[in-house]
Amino acid sequence: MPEIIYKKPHSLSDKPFHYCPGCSHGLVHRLVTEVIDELGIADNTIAVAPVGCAVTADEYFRVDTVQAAHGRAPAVATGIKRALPDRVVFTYQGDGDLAAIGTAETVHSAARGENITIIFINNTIYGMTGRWRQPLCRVRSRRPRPTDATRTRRAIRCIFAKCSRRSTARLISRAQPLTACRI
Amino acid sequence: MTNKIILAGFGGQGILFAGKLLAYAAMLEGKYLSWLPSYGPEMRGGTANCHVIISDVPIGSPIITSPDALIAMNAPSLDKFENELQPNGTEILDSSLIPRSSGRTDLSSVRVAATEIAEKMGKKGLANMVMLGAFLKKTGLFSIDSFKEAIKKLLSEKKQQLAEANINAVRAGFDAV
Amino acid sequence: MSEAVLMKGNEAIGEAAIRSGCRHFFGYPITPQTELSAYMAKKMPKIGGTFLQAESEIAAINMVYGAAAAGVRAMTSSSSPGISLKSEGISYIAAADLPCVIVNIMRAGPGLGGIQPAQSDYFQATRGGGHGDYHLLVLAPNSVQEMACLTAEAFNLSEEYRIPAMILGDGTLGQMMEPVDFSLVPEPVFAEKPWAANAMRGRGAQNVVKTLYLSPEELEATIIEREKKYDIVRDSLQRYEAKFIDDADIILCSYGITSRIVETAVRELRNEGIKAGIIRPISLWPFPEKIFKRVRPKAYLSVEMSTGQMIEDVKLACECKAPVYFTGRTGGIIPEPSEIIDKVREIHREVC
Repeated sequence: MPEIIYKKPHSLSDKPFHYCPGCSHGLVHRLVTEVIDELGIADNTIAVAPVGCAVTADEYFRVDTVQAAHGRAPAVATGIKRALPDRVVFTYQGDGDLAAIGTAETVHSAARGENITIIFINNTIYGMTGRWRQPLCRVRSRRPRPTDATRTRRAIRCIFAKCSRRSTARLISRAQPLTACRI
Repeated sequence: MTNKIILAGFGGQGILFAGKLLAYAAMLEGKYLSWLPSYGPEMRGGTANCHVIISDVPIGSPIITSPDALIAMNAPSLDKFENELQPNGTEILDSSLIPRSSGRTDLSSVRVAATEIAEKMGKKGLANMVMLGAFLKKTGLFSIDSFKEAIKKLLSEKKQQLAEANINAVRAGFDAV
Repeated sequence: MSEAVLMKGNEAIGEAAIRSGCRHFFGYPITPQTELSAYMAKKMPKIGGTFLQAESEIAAINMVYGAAAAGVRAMTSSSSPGISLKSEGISYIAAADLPCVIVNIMRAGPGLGGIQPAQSDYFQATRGGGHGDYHLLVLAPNSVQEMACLTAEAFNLSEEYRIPAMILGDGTLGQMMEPVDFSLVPEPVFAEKPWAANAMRGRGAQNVVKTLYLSPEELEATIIEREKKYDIVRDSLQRYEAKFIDDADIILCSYGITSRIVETAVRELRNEGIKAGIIRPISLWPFPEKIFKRVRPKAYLSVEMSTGQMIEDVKLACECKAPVYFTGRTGGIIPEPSEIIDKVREIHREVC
């Protein structure tokens, strides 16, 4: 009798992904749901899916899900976690969402030490709207002085570093630019 | 019967608290009342004030445009409100801080050295209570007893030990005019 | 007044919210509603509730959205510029059919404006400060007692109809103190929330709180469903107070603090022999159109602390069957009874 040594996580639905070929979302969705299954927490988890290609993550994650406005997922997650402290609450955010419009929410949920998990998909672009560059985008430049993008990354990294000393928010950064940005 | 009272002074003289006390006393006697503080720039300009309306009938606007009584604890407050008082109204002024009266002949004017009296009692901050005592004597609006009750109820538990000092200050004002 | 306590309007809202079972308040300081946040900051920890000072009004409304989606009674409060910031979040809450209470203690605008009271957010509240086809249940108290009672009603109605509710107060009502009798405040009536995203816990099926519908047909269908709900609300939740309308030649319409000044003016006008009456809308959305169909004055006068916003609803409600005039002040100035009396005398000369 063949032994099953690997299968699709139960918490991942059977719906085919709509993501672009090569996009890391599919991979990360599988990883997240695999962990949810391993920890046995599907029945106790609430996901927050903000604007971005993965705003329809509820179609893939088989857990209760709340859609959020662009950048506001950590605030929405804070509301949920404060309401239901014994649930597992996580957000699934892209970089434009987390590090541009949502910088304040990201930093402050960390500074307050909200007991939520933020899954951060940094592919350095706003995918949904046609691959516009965003603040964490790596930009090749011949100029010796730091570019805006580098300054932004340094500022955000500095703030996260300060916050993480006091907080329990986890940031998992998938810094894999699939599209190199050129001037 | 409706009483429209404006209390005014600089921030820190306990104007708002004095107004609340009048409001509380009115509530204990089952009257209709409203208390409205000024907020914002007025607080800085030395004319912090509150509007207190006490009435036997339901109160319309809580905003007083022509008061029938003014309790003023500094000169800018007198400047601001003296011409708004209704004819036959009453002005009660802290003579320790306000050198003049309005000069209007159609008002009754009461001058009481509230800040001096309070200082002699050892607590300058009770000048507002002295003013209230003078007001009670002049208008007869409440008895000292119902006022005692209001003071005890309004002060928080932590500050109950100040009740007696407050009541004494009211009495001092009552006796001074 | 057996159990009356003396409280500021802002505090009365807070106390009523707590008595209504609200245990989650997400706020931000802004004059003139800061006392409400301060009251919640003091009380919530004592009763095991959450008071959270958010990093912005935007974050606060999104926290309310999250908590409401999770199935609890949640609340935020702000003043005019802060409500502008919350507009997107409010649109999301309405689109997700979530119950919650939003308090706007109005101040003068536009822009940074001033901190004195005004009523210039009527359009924002009733026409939707946020985008899309949606409405809020908007209730306008005119006394500290009503600040308490309407807050309790707002929580109940918001849950029953799954529509966000707004309490539209102003700086005067928020700051003033009057006796409040909490035995008159409605008891909480909690609705079942099978739709809440509160983790499956054996439910078997996933609950999703969402507002995105990429298919136009699907989106239209959800909007039409919501409109049917709004029709029920329009029909059954119109609230108003009317005085001296049976023989009135001129009916004055006003809400909130202005209505108190109007009542003082109307009593004096009646003493003069002018037949003035009052319609005071308590629900601004749904606007109490029905009462306007039952009166036949020679003129209406809308009195507002704005440049004229509610007047449009007055015109619609009475179908302009009589001329509708306007008087008011703006910028944070509160009209005096004498200004209103003068205007009514002027109208009286024209139409009577």
